[in-house]
Parts: sequence; C-alpha cells; structure tokens
Amino acid sequence: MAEFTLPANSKIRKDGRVCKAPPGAKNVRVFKIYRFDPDSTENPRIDSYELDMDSCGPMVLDALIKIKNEIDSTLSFRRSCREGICGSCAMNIDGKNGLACISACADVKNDIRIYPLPHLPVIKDLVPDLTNFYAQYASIKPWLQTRTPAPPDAERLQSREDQEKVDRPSACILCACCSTSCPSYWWNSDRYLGPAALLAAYRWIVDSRDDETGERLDQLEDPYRLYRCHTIMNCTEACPKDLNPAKAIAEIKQTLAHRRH
Amino acid sequence: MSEYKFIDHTYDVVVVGAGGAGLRATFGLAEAGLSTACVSKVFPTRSHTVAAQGGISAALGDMGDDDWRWHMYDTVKGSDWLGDQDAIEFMCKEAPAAVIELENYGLPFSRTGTSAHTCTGDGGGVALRAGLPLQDVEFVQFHPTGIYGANSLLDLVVFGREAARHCARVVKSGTPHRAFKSDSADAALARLDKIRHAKGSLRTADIRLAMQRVMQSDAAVFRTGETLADGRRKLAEVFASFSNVRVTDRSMVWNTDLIETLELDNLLGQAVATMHSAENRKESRGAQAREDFPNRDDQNWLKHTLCWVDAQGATKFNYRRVHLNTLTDEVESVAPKARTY
Repeated sequence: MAEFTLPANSKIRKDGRVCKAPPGAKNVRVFKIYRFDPDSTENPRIDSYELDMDSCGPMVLDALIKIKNEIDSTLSFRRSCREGICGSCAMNIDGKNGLACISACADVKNDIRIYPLPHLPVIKDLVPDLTNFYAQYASIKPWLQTRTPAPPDAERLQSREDQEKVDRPSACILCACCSTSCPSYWWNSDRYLGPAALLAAYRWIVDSRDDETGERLDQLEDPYRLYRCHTIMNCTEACPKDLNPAKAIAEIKQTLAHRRH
Repeated sequence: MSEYKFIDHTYDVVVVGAGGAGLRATFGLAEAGLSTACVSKVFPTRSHTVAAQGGISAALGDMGDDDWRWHMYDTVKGSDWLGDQDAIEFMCKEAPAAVIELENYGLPFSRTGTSAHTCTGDGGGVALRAGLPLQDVEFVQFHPTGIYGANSLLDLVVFGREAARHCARVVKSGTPHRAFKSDSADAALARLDKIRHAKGSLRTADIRLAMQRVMQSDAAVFRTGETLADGRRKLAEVFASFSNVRVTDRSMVWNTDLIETLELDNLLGQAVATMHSAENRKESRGAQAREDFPNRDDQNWLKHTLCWVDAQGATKFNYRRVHLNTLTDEVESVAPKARTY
C-alpha cells in the first residue's frame, strides 16, 4: 500500500485562540483565520475573532485591518491600494480565491473563513511565498520584443482592433487568484506555468507590434508549460478583474494546432 | 546588535523604490551598463504608480495640434507659479520622447485608483532623519484632491529617466565607493531594534488614528491660522506619544507590526512638516487654501518652503527662490498672474 507523507506544518490545529466580541455588540460575525508563525515549531492553527460589524467596514480587508489594529497586531497579511488595483490582498475567503479589499463580508454566509492562497508555501499567516509565481511570469518575457526598429520619434501604431486584443489581458494585476485556484497548478506548479503566466504570454502573442510570436509559441509547446491546462475553468471563475485566462489558454492551444497543420 | 546578521552588497547605483520613477531609473541605469539594485518594500506592480488616474500627459501632437510650450504653460499655471520653470520646461519638452519610449517598450496605458495603505512617506522620513528639509509640504494633498495626475506620471517618467542619464554621465561602472565608516549602519539599526522591542502602552494603530484625526480636522483643505495652531499643539502630543508605542510582534519574518510602526514614525515627521508649513505660509496658493489669507501673495510668498523636523518634532524653516527663469531660450518665462479657469 502506498504511503503518503504530508509536508511539514501542513496539518492545521483546531485549538486556536478565540477572541470574543465586546460586550453589548449586537451585530457579531465570526472570522476564522489561518495563523502560522514561522518562528515557532508549531503547526498552523485557526484563530476565531468575533467582530462587532456595526463598527467595522464592509469588506473582508476592513475586518482584517480592524483585527490587526484593535485585537492582534501580529496578524500578517499583504494589502495596499484597498480598491482592487494592486493585487496585494489576494487570499482564500470562504473557500474561494479573491481580493479581500473588494470582497464584502455580507456576501459570505455563516462564519467567514480566511486562508492564504492555496498550495503555495506559507511565509506567515495569510502571506504566501510568490517567488515561483513571479519567476513564471518573468519566464514568458513579458515585454515587447521587436526586430524592426521603432519609427523615429513615433509610436508603433496599432489598429483599434489590434489594440483591443491586448487591452483586457493587460489588465491582469498578478494577484495569483487564478493560478492558485487551478488543480493542475496545484499538482504541477513546478512545470506548469499556470493561468496567470499563460494569460500574460497570450497578451504578447496577440500583440501586433511584437516580432517574436513564433518563439513565444515555441516556448509554450511543451506537455507541461501549456498543456497541463485541462480546461477546468477555475481560473476564469476566480479572476477578480473578470478576465478570462481559460479562453486565452484555449486560443494559444488553437494557434499552436493551426501552426502544426 | 549581534543578533542581526548582515550581507553586504556592492552596486554602482542603488535605486530606492520601485514605483514608476524608480523603475524607469533602474531600467536606464541597467541599459547604461551600471550594476544597479532597486530596493522596494512591495513587489513593483503593487507600487502606487499602478493606481494613478488620468493617464500621462505629453504634447505628442498625434491627436491634433499640440506643442510642449502649451503643456508648459498649463503646468506653470497649475502650480500657481510655485513650480520651477526651468524644471517644467525640461519635463514638458522631454515628455514626448519619454512617453514614446515607454510605448516602444510595450507599456500598456490604463487603470484607475487612489492613495494606498503603503503610501507612508518613507522617503520623507528618511530625508528628515538625515537632517534634510522637506520642500513645500504644505501643498501635500488629501485624497481625492490625490494633483494634476497626468503630470505626476510624466514627472516620474521624465525625471526617473533623467536620473539614470545623469548617473550614466557621472558614474563609472566598477568605481569603488569611499569606504563607509564602520558605524555607518548603527543609527538605522538602533532605530529598528528600539522600535522592534518597544514596550510602551500605546498601540501603533491608536497613535496613527490620532494623527489622522488631527490632520483631517486641522490641516483640512480649508485652513485657518487658528485651526493650524490648534493642530500643531495636538500633533505635538501625538508625536510625543510615539515614545510610548508598543510593538507586539518581535519576529524577523514578515513582521508587519514592526513595519507599520516604522512607517508611522515616517508619517509623523511628514505630518509635523505639513502642519507647520501650512501654518507658516500665510497666503492661499494652489492646494493651500487659507481662509484667513484668501489671496495669493507673490510679494512675500513666491518662494519655496524648506522645513526641517528634528527628532523631538521641532521645526525650522528656510526658503528657496522659485525659478521663474526657463532652462533655454526656446520658450519665454510665464509671468505670474491671477489664476482663473
């Protein structure tokens, strides 16, 4: 019989701290938050915080900030713009990946469970290690590659249609919600690029100004880098910017199929 | 201090910050063959540049007649004549080339947003601790009043690019630095260690909230000498209370309790400089609207404020003349006149 060993520190203890709501609070909600302290030898735990929502902003990020400001300043999470544009506060909320700053507490029924993005090494609490994710983004060479010189003192002009092709995929904020929602990425993130990097690759493949389209496609024609996508579509479901990485990946596959025939 | 382990790195140039200016400078420096480190407290795409609204302005002339001189005129007027015209000329003249260059690199142009939690005036805090003054901070704007946005993006691209060019002219790759004094890191390390182990009775968030309340009520968009003097007194108390701050997280891995407290230290210095500078400037100009001095006073205040803040929160002022002169004779200076739109 095969034996599997879970990675160190992956089992979650159930005996976390419980912080009660202040007396007299009428509109109480419970936040169950994953905590992991890298300095301790202990496994992660779930802490419960009862918040009085009458003195808390509406978003999950508001609740996290309230906890950090008023209850436990050691709680660690990334955040910056608080309006869905910087991509810092991606996390798993109520079982779904999303940005805490634009996820409303009211949209979650029952207790609000908050975990780090799935299947990434956890640095601390809700802060995952994105090193591999960023390296994969860099690997698709996310910049314009040209062989012809630019026209002197002028833009490389595009038709409106050509510009529209890159417009939406350029709006990716690299939050990693899509890639870390993908089961294929969970099992093969060492070799499968994942939807975020592939969406970025697509953005340059369809850019009419780029001269390295063929090389970009060559780089992706690999059983793992591209073809570990099994059209599960979690990526598109997870994207907080309403982008469609699944469709972009399908179009890359289609382009490669046409190229072969 | 022996518990802190150091790894020394050596570069031709170190860029602090990976926003638009820092990245543009870094790119230019690397292109010029200088070994360059860019240090940032957030991953570059999380920097506040991604949230800038209003696009980037440049007189490209591709959407009809345009001329960098008109752009310059708009910018001088927008600054209510406090902008240095030699610098504005440079920015507007360089704008088309700098923006086309970005387009040629494949930069996409669009996204919207506002002031972030990570905008904590760290550069200002570093400058103040180094004994340097902050200039014209009475004009620090509160969201969403957030400046002529299209020029702020241009500002960072043009001057990031120029900083790289300047370094490429004056720095020879591989030239060793003067040796640092052996105690050169002591002050910074002592600050970090002291704050990391701070055992006071006040939470970082409580001091920060007190500071925000003072700034919102007394350094608001419309100000009077009375509110500003009142704000100055209240802010002095908040500033002093920082010596009683408490940090709970003592760890060295992703310690945001420590980082937020270091950031608060930076914010407090900037807040003091802003409040005092606003009280000091007895006129209304641009983003500084004094109800007790409703008019612009070029006679006395056509000058830049320089404000020093010491470790106790005491301020000292001096002034710089505004460069009404242009950089070249390709354009005439825009003489001050009443600003109407």
